[in-house]
Amino acid sequence: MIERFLNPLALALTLAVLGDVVVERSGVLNLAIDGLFVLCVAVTFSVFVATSSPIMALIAVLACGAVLAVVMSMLINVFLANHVLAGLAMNMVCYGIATIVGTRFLGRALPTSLYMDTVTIGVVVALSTALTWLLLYRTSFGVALRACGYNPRNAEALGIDVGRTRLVAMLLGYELIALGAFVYLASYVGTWSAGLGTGWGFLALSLAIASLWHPVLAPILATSFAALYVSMVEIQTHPIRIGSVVIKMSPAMVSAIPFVAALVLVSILYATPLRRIVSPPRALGEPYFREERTL
Amino acid sequence: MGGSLIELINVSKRFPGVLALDRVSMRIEVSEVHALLGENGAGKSTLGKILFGVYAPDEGVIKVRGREVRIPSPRHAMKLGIAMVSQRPQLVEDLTVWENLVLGLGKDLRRDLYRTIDEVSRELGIELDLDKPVWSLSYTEKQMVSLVKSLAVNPCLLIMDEVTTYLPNNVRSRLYEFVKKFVENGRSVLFITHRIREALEIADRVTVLRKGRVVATYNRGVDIDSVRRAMFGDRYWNGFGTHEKTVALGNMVLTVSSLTVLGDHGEEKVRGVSFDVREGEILAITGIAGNGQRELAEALIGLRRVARGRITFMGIDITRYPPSKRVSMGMGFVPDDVAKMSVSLEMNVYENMALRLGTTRFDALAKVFESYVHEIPVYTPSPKVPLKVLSGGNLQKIAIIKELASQCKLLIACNPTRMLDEASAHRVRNVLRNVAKRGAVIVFTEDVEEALGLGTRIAVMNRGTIFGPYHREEIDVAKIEELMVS
Amino acid sequence: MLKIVIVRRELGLSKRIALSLTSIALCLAVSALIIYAITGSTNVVFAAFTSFVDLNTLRYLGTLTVIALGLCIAYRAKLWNLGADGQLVIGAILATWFALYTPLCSSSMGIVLGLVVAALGGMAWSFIAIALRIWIGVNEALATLLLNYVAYYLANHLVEGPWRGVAVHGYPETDLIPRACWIPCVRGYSFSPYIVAMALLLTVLIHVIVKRTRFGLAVKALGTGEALVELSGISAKKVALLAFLMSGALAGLAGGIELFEVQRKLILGTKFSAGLGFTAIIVAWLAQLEPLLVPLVSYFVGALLLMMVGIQIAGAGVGDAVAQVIVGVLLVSTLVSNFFVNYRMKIVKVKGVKL
Repeated sequence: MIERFLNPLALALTLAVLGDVVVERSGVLNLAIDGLFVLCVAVTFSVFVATSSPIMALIAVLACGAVLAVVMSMLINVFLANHVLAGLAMNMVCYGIATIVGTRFLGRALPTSLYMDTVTIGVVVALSTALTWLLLYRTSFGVALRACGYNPRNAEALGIDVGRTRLVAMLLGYELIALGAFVYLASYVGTWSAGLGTGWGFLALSLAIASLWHPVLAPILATSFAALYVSMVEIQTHPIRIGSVVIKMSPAMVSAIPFVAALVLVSILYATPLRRIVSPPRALGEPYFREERTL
Repeated sequence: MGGSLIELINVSKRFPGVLALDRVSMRIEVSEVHALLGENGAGKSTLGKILFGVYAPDEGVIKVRGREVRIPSPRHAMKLGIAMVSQRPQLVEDLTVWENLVLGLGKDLRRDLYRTIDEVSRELGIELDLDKPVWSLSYTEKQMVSLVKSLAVNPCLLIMDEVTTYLPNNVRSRLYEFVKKFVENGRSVLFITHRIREALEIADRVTVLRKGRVVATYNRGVDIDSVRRAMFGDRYWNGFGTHEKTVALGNMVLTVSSLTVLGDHGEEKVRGVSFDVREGEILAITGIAGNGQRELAEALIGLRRVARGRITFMGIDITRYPPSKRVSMGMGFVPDDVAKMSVSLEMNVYENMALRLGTTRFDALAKVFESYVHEIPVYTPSPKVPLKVLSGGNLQKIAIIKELASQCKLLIACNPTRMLDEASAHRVRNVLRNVAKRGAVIVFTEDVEEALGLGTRIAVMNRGTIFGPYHREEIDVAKIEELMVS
Repeated sequence: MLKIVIVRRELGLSKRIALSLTSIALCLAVSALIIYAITGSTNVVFAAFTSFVDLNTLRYLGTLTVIALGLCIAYRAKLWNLGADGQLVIGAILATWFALYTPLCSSSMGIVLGLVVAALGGMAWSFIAIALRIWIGVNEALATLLLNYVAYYLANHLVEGPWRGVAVHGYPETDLIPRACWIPCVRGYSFSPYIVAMALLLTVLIHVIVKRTRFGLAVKALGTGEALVELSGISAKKVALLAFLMSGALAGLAGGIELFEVQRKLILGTKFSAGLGFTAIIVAWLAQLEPLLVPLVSYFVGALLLMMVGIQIAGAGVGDAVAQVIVGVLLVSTLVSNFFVNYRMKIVKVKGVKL
């Protein structure tokens, strides 16, 4: 039973969701997560195939995450771009680059698959969760990060450099997401085709929203979600028979289910009073300009 | 006194449509309390914010201890030893007191934090619970957190921007003592205020700003009349105008019974409030900001859900109606923040009028607008420019004109004169009196004298409950101030 | 040390236009560079740029204009409909159903009815997102993005399963729709003059709605805040609903157009939409949300798309991906040039402060 929850997909998703929590807690609406995820998947694949070294792939994917964090942070914090549009633009660029990068090695197989057993996955999930929680709630940087998400104007007046704090938050968060993409490709999918991973970033974003950006709730949702997905894939290959009724689904419908599930999950959580208990980053997605005159 | 601490030379700051500071030069000496005095909109806060690194000046030079500096952010200001406390506490409400205090503080400064907290608690006579979230604190407690925070960076200049306006009297006088003691060992205070008496009581020197310019600087012992003349110019100021003696009351317009409204964090901000308003009345509701006025006003117009209780308008129960329905039934609303809720900065005057009045015949709207501009002068480069180029005061006037033109039966106005100079404020008050002749008005104001001058009845809000409404004859400034802080 | 200070400013019209042109020129330069990097031939670069005088660009003008007009309305209200791509696919699915499985398409009003059905489909799809936003508070940007995938997979499910054509040799696509449902193209070109005319008519119509009606003003006011609309005596929910449904309906309509004018069969979801729904988002913003500018920008962006198709044929194999990158870069440069319209950057020296 437990291995159903602690599969490689669960780990990938947990890392991506935690990364998104870190980014969005600082007040940055992270729609670019999908492009980031897809590009990191393609980078992992290409570098892994080209160098046969998982370490090189890991280094490359982390570098990719860092570069994107800096670019997005420029757009949002310096050029004061609308978070939605900036995210969308980054997604398009990343999807395109991912296809161009990956197509060079299309059809090649990974030299080795990175197998992870249940215990390793469990340890990494627990560790990353604990570290994210500690970072956000037990360090002074975490306080500053959350302050930027609640009220950047007053945080600045209290002595925080909002731009710098958000840059660091994005660097940390994007690295986590990049790691998630690495695990997704190297341990879960193991092969690459154009567009691989598209939509999983948005799923991670939905799970982060549904967990009210709380680093402990996030992995619980992520692992359950992954378990559900893996089960659905199994139903597709081994139809369930309940009496004379055969539940069978087309591959396309199975692929659609996570997106419906994510939307339903977010809606249910938003409809309950739970969201008033954990205080969400109120300034999420608001472009912030210090000199804006407040009346 | 030992030489100059801060010097400003020809500092100017322009916002779209307004010149907030016009070549301001002034000097703050070491060990002095320097008061910066001026009307609303004179540019006092802008000057404070420039010194604190919130705004960058367009022109001019700032010197700290004789060295020219740039202050690109509050963080830099703190490094330079400049700290600021504002009228509205600049805290992150979702974080705890302790988290707010340590935010952005280095380890070395954090060590002295407990001592500073003890010191401030002792001086002001207020205890702080460090683990409480800031939103649950009272206004006075929040101001105390701000003060501790600004002292924690060991400032050589403490900017206090209208900090005493809403403090209870006993805390206020202890704060004066604190300020005087603070400057004894080589530190200075820039005390920004619009109250002349306060400035003269506390300050070693007083600089008067008018319309973004320095008009005069006085030493201690100056007489109040010259300061007043400097502050207001030649304009004769006749207070709040007079009332007609008898008010003929008409039908019941609004009845509010045992109204309870929740704040942003689910706490009860308005607790079982009841009152009613008749035709011909102006009900003035006053109190210290943050005691539930905003929530009550929003509940009356429908922007905030009512937790318990009932609101009846013209005999109809409107407790569950959305604002749009209440507005089409004849209610009008002038919010605190007109730029967010009452006018669109992207649209011009006529488009804004069209939105409210429901006709897109712009030539007709132009005529309507013209007829009101005689009563309340609005200065626009042209009525066709988007409102974002106008000053806050003019936005406020347009917001009021829109509501007047809608011929509403009940006008609810939140601090309608806060952004206005005295002459305009006077005109707006007269207009509100006229509205009351054909309907009713509820005015929320933080200005006690305005409440007394304008209201036919006056109510005081304190921690979500309401005292009164009292008839004007039953109450005076002293009584109101007592109720505000009791 | 040096520090960048950002100051707000107001820029005159001529300078704003100059800035827009600069960002467009920048984008063209980047595209030329990318094409050169991939093909390594300056001839291909020059050949690619002929798409700007190619009438086939009008095929993109029609579709992009229709979608972008709707998005202008939604974005003016600051409602983030990022689901035009999915709404387009749903419109196409319903239009396919109408053409293949109802007898109505052979009637005289067949095509018009089919387009109406497509628009209703897009509208219904957008309703899910806006309903969740209005009544539960779910971020509509996220909801529309997720619904895109549901729409793609729904199309995939249909063409791989129940609707797979009998004459397609196992390819995941439906049979061709009946000839009666084809919108005729100009001989030798891939665009229909009727669609171009309709797009231009819609442009004028949307312009009037946006600029000359109270609804149009209310939509803009909704961008400032719900409270402003409500305090003007107009139901903010109704305005939001209507604005969003209009954008969904126009995206759905575009799906019908793509089916009847270009594809003439349903294929895999992402292939069918080819990202047009996303490209239209850029068209709307590049046009500064001004309906009258939308056809102009659509032509420009359409020419870029056509250029990429050309490169694809020239053998690069990743033309779609390159198009995506270039369109994305175009949006980035629009965002950055918007910044310079409203703000000025100053580099200042900060002395005597250690950080």
